[in-house]
Amino acid sequence: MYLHLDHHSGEPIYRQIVEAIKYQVASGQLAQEDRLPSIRTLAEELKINPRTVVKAYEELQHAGLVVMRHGQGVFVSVNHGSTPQSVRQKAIADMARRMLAEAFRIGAPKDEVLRIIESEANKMGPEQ
Amino acid sequence: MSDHVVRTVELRRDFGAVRALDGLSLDVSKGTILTLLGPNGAGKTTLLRILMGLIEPTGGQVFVLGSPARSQPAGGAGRVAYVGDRCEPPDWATPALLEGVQAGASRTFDRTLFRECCKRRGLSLRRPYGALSKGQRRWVLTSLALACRPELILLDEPADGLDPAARKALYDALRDHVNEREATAIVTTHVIADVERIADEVAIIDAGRLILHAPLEDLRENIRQVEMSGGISLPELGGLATVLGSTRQGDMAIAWVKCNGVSDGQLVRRLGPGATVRNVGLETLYLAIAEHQPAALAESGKGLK
Repeated sequence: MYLHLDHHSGEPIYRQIVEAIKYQVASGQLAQEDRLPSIRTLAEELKINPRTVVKAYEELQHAGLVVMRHGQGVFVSVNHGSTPQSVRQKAIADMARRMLAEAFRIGAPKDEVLRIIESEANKMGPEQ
Repeated sequence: MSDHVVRTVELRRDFGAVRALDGLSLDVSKGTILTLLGPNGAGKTTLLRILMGLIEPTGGQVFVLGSPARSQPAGGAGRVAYVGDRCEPPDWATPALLEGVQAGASRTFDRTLFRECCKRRGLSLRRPYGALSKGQRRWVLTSLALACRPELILLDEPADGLDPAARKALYDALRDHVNEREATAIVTTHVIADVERIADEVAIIDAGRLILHAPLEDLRENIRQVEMSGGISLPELGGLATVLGSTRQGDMAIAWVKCNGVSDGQLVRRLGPGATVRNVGLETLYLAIAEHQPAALAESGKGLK
């Protein structure tokens, strides 16, 4: 599995892994029931401490994106995206507010922000 | 049996009138790469040499792999490896010879691994040590240490003189060793980018004392620079954040803090209007606390973890 890590960013490595896998699931690069690399394998590939991978996988499991099946491995869960509508909308509104605040701060007009969101969503594939 | 591969308690070491280590207490757990940061003369090399059993502490206690450091046989029969400045082989020794010597001294020595390491950097096993460049010498010594498959490896500025590709190869080899054997490493360096690449935990020492010891992931996530005109009232941060250092520039007070899982918004609300909070990297933090650490911090260094 190819994951790009930025060791010099302020973002913890475990969270970079979480975000990268979330993105791969959202964009269809990882499908339901796909098996993620084992903790050992991913740690070896990324040259990081296995505990960092454990933390990332636990976070993904907590978020409902993956399931850990004892003795079998870690799989992309079937029911991701089944969050109740009200919860979902609130979560998205929160994210949008944070993003807009940052975008306006660096001087981006609303049209530009919306255009970029549209284009990024398209990149993730037609089913979105 | 404790999980700590290295434990020092109130460690002191004097060289004549100079106190190189001044009550240093540090625990390092199994399977961890700890990078040791600190200005020249902070006591980093002294600490490694004590851990290797090369010199004795003046006071305090030191345990390595569960026993007092000096009770280990020299080299801990291959359980502990050390690469520093003052342990160079003679100029006429070839890597092939060094391999033979090391294999005789350590039961766990992995000849194949050593040869692979040399091959990876295009080093001939027949070339005398004296004919190698500074970076190549470092590479040979570190490869020898890794090939001993030690439970604890102590590397004093291993990347000194290595080009970027060699640095990456060295740190990758170190990580593989640590992961495969659940080994433990303590590495000193001055290069912050290297710390960010390899460290699981970061310890900063200055004047023989521990200033900060924390997991790198924690530092990435929780270090903030707080700025406020008129002055930051430090006690008011209590509970929300730990102050690691502070300074004043004209009317502006600046503090570097480790926040305890609170949002930037919560910090600003506590400090009042006019305060700004931003994320800063390890380099900023290191320079800041090396220059501006409050005296009280040195005493509570252990509590910051």
